[in-house]
Amino acid sequence: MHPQAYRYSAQIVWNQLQHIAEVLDKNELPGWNTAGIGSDFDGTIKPLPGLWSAEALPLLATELVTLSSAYLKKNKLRMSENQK
Amino acid sequence: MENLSKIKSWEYRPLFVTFAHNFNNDLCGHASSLEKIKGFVDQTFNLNGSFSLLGEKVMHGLLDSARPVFIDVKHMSYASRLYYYSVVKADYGNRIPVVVSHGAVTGTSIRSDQKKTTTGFCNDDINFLMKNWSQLRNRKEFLLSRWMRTGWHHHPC
Repeated sequence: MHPQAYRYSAQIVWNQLQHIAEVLDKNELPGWNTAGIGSDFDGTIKPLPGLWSAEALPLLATELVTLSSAYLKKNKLRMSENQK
Repeated sequence: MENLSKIKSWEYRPLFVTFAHNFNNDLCGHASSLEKIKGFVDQTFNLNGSFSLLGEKVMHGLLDSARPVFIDVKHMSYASRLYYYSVVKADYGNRIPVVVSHGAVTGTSIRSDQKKTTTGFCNDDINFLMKNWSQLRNRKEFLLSRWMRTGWHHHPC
């Protein structure tokens, strides 16, 4: 596995967070702090490359901060509470 | 139905119950799942079905109370989800939060969009379609996602 695989995986997670935030913002609902990230622990999960355990969460967090900061610099969501 | 009364009388009742899983449960239809072991199991009975009469009774039994037990829509078929949302709207004035205990969004808004390629999302119908508020009134799928938790196991197609 590529040592930077987690970066691509973080992008997949970010796609979710961004889409959810944008749809909620359009509907004048709080867009962030609504989705959680986790697993259902039933043994059939298919973790994303580079994000195989809780050990990878700090890496994921750092990457998500980078992606979200870049997004918020470029895009303005409608509700002020969603703009930061 | 007896079990339902038992649960509701517990001192610490569940916040929500999950209404469907990978196979028929006589309550409501489930969505296709178990990607990796599909060849070894048969999910067809009631796959993509909607609510049964028993399911309707159990649903109202959970919701129709001063202290409702919420219902988790994860694993419900698309038809079951649409029906559930219409009930939440029509019978409960949208005051019941829709719980998605784990799941992903598709990046599209209605099922006919599922042929559409959404780069970086997975369009399997077990995943959730979001819709804006005006369209939500047309009973298309939506998420009230204060209660939503995004897992990642269904994301990669």
